[in-house]
Amino acid sequence: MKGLKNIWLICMLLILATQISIAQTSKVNKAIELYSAKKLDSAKVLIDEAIQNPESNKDYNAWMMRGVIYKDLYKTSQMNNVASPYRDSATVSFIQSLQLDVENKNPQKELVSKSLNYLASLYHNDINKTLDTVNYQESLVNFDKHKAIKKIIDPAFNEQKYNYDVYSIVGSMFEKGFEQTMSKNLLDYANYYLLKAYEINSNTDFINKNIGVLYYNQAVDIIKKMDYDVPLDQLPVYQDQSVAMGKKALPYLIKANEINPSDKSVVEGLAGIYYLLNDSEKYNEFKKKFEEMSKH
Amino acid sequence: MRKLIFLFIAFITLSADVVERPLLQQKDDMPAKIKAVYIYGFTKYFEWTNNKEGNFTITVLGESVNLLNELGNTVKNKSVGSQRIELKNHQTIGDIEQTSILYITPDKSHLLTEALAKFKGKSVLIITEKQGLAKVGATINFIVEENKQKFELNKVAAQRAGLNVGSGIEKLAASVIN
Repeated sequence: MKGLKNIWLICMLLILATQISIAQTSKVNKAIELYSAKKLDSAKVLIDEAIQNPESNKDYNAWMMRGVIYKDLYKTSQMNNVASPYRDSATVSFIQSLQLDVENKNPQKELVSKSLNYLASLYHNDINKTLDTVNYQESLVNFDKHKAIKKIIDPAFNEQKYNYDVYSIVGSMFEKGFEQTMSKNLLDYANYYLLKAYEINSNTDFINKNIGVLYYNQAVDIIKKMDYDVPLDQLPVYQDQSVAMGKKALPYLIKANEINPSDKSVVEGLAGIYYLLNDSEKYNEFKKKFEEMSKH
Repeated sequence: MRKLIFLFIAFITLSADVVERPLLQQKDDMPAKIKAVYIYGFTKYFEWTNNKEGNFTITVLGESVNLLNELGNTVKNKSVGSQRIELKNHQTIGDIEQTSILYITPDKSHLLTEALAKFKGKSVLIITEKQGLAKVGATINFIVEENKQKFELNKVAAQRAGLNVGSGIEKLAASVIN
């Protein structure tokens, strides 16, 4: 199957070679020959030289060829590099090829689109590889690259939905980091990304639950970190802060519960928050609900 | 294509992991910590005219594991004057021989009358946690106002109990019975 695919690709490239203008044929053709012979490094040198030429620089076929070569270079040597320069060059080349083909004449346009789609998927999947509190910027770079490609090749691409998905996952990641380290910095990032996701879509149980839990845990932390020797005249200050944060959490968890009443952890969270707010009636109501849900 | 599907599934799997992780800090009982801090704090605002020998005992009457734990954290290695603080937990008034502070859990509120009779004039600070109990003899009664833990102070009950009330505590109380 893979052999057939390669034969098809080489045939396609030979057809491409006949379409390239005479002046630049030699370098681009030579690059195709080298590519066909799997001499990717040499093919890269020649195709890079070819696109320096003003004529080839405007040739969608030359750019497509460059995309093909760089894509294979990426696959052979930088597949594990989330910031692969080869992958970026392949992407830029395929996009350039599409944009130069203003009259829609490229018979291999579908190949270009499929290649870009493939690269977009790889950027998307690499978001996970650096999704931690130290390397997350790399995830966001790949997130932007994925979006940039999809906006070009996929008219149905829902950018807002994609933004929501990624911001909520990045926000949750920071939230988790904050819970483990209690770092103010991570808390700020968690707030920032979760609220960005919330601005896009405030009607999911996921985002409401995560924002609610973030505030709830802060409410708990205020009292948890309070010194046992705190003077009694200072105690109301801590209580005020904690209650204010608990009240901030409450509407999010209520909404999460309305959207998804079967989420046991939200019901547990509501019991916890009402307990923290000294509302014993509501605490007992949600505690009972949680206990009933736990039986099933 | 198969690889793409696999990679996509990997992404979804990670997202699901984020959603399902345990987030809530359920094990921490913050209202119990606040009560514990209050109870220890009261030792600085009252003077025990009796009960000056031996340890300074804080007794919890009733079941309240979280409060006992938080009190344990609060009074660890602490003293009132020269008296080392110790904690006790009992289920009946009859089991209590001597104490400086008696906290009666809401479930045991019906034992307040018995406690008042047993410890009258013996310098025992009786703390309750049920609506109206300050009016019927508890020196301190925990209440909830605006979602916050506050307390009522009954100065008459304090005097009857043989306690001198410090000046600053009135300002901290939600209400004072003179």
